[in-house]
Amino acid sequence: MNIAGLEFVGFNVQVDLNRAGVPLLEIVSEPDMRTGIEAAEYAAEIQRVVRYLGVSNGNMQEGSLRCDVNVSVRPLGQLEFGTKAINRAIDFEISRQALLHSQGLKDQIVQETRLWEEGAQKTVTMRKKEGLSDYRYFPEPDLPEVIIAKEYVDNIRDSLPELPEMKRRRYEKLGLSMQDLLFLANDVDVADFFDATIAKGADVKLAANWIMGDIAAYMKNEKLSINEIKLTPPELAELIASIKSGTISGKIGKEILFELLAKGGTVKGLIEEKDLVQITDPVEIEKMVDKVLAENPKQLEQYRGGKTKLQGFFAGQVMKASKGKANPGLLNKILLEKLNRS
Amino acid sequence: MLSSVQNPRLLLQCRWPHPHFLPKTLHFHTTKALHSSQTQTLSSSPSVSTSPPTSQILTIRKSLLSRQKSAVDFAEDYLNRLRRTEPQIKSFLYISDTVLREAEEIDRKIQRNEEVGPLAGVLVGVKDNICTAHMPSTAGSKILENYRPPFDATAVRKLKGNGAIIVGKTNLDEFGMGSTTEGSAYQVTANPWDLSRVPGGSSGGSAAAVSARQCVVSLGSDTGGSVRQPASFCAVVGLKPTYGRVSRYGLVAYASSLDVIGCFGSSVVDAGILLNAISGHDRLDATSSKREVPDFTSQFIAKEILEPKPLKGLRIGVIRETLDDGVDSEVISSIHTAASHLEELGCSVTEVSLPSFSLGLPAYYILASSESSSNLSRYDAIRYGNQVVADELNSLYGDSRTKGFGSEVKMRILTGTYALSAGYYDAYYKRAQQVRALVQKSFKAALDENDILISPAAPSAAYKIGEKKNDPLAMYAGDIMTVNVNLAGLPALVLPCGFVEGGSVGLPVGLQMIGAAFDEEKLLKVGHIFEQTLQCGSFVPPLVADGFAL
Repeated sequence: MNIAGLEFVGFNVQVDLNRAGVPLLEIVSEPDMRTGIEAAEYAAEIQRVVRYLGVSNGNMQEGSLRCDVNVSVRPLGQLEFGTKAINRAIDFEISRQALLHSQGLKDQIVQETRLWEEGAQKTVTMRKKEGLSDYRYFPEPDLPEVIIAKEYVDNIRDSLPELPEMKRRRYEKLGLSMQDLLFLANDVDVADFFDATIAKGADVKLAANWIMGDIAAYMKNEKLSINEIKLTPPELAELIASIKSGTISGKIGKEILFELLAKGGTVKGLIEEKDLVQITDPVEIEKMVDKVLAENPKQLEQYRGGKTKLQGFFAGQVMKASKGKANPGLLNKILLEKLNRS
Repeated sequence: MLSSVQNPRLLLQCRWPHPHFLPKTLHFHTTKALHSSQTQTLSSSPSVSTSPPTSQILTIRKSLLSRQKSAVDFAEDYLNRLRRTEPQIKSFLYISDTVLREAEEIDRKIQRNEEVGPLAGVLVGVKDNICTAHMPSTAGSKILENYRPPFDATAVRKLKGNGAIIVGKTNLDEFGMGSTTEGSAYQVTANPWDLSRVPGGSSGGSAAAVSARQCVVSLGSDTGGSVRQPASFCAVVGLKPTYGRVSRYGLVAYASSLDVIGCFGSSVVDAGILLNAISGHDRLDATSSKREVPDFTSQFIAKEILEPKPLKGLRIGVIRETLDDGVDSEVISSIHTAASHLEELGCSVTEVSLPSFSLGLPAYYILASSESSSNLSRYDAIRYGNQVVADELNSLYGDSRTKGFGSEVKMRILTGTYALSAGYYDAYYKRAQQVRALVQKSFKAALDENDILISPAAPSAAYKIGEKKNDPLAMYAGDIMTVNVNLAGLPALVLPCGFVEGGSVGLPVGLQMIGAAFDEEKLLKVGHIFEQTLQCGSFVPPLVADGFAL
């Protein structure tokens, strides 16, 4: 393998040995891919797998993961690509070779390594590929053979974590949509967060929605990874449970979420500290409704005169008076009864 | 059967046409007990009519520790002899200028009663394809002219750690590719026994240097016989260890699956002590073995306390195919004599057949050339070595290699490149690997039946300089005795066993003993007893015999 890069500066050569001694795995795929996007998705899945396994950070821009693509429309040619350029480079190369064929210029398609030029959005010759006979492969005598016992392989197989494909299948069985499971399984840390949340008994769909919605948005805004936010999976599970049980409203839930994301703490602690428990006692809500109606006689008159849109105004005033804690369903029910009682 | 063809009176006499007896050499009589037990058992007294080789290393150690002679005195003896003989022999490509300073340091340590290593004060020659910091390492090639590696080979590092003094870098066929040392890009080394003859190769400089007592011991490398054949030509002990026994880190790679670093000494004991110092696992060579290294020197038994049949029960197999047509008849009878001698020592000697033996030579040349074509691709004149001025990069590579490599090297790179090319791979490289497996299997079978296999180390004694220079196939054919052992990765010991006609006093013949993998111990033990009981006069070449008094 190429452990060092050579750079020729005139007749001086600079040797970059930054990869020396780093273990390297080469995967050669079968020619199974037909389009750029298939190849790009294959590379992305390899990236997920190495990250799931924790064997590499898989960062292409750092050279932790590299790809060489062979494109062949009959005769062989080759090109190299970067991350998102995979798709475009392959499609470009397919059209380039197809065009040469259609122009009767197939002689110009030679076995070579081509480079993707991002600026010009095209491939150019990097180096001509040597013919097979020039490699003159033979077993390297300085590297003794390594005999790997079946037991050793089995041990590794048994110790493998759940891989991306297995995870996606499991999420599918949990009832998640395709969009949800692709998002959650894409990043092993996000998937672990999700798994830990549902392990605490959280509703699967609700947990997915929270993570993909407000939590993802927060991470994106703050440029944080899921491991850097203060919210923990048990607290997310607690939050979901508190809303489901009616202890707090969805609106309050969102407020608490942002507190938890930024500062941490517990759902129970925040509810107590801020006195956020939802008011579900009809008598208490009725009192607040009565008070609001009494304070706004003019609007009440207008409502009863046919301006029923004002119901929203009253609801808002009552919610404000309850500091947002009134159960909205109960509030509206009681409010309507009172408004329509003439 | 073997002994029946011999005249019983000759059993303990080796054949040589013009015996020359050394003026009685100077021997030390122990005045003081030594530290280690093995040195006690080895302190031999001079024999009366013949003089089996004594260990120079143990003699030096004894003298240093008893303060009879200083390390500087020893170093001066060797350096004087080196200066006197080097213009004729030309075994060194580089001679260290710090030898006396290092010897002084050892003397100071001894003065202060500090521990000194087992090789303290021992002058070691190092084949120039073994890397040494602060000294050039050219591998005999122009492409590495003036190259100074920034590190010591593991074997060299271990030698230094044991107190050895590296006296210099010895001549070789370029990259070890050759059997005469005429393939050096720098100079031709002469055989100390007859200056008109080759010392063998590729480690010809290391063998000649020990033979001419220019240094005590030396390191060589053996890819297809490059330690054993020159040992045979120069009448020194050459030891090719099991593949993996000695780290190859810092050995300029020729054929990585065959290369080993080996030892030269003027006695089996010295070769064994040297092997002791350089053996062992090295994390810098993935092919070096993790096997425990036994104390090879614990096997040596002093001649005086040997039983009448000290090798009783040992099974020796004479490889039939090595005593066939194409092998010098005098060499064949030397080996028969050696076999008889082993029988006298109590061994049971039988003939053994290795049917795949003749296939080893072509298989070896394909594999070694293939591996070398890959290994030598590193000489791009950019990372190291001489660079020619060129307008663009490809010419820089091409012109530097054209100018830097000699013709034998180019021939092997071309052969190897061809053998590995698509379409030819199956016919050449793959078949050669299959032959290699066959050779390994047949050695295994033969060594299940026998403790040690014996053969000549080369089909002839040393030949004339220039004789095979333009006939590579004839030169390659000379490797028939040794290449199979490299293909099988086995250890082998070559030691002088007799003489044939030639030169002014006869030319030495070497006996090859092949052992099971990682059983150097047995080879050294048997080799030592063989050497100490052989009634053969001296294997010190006449060139230095008069002045050699150790």
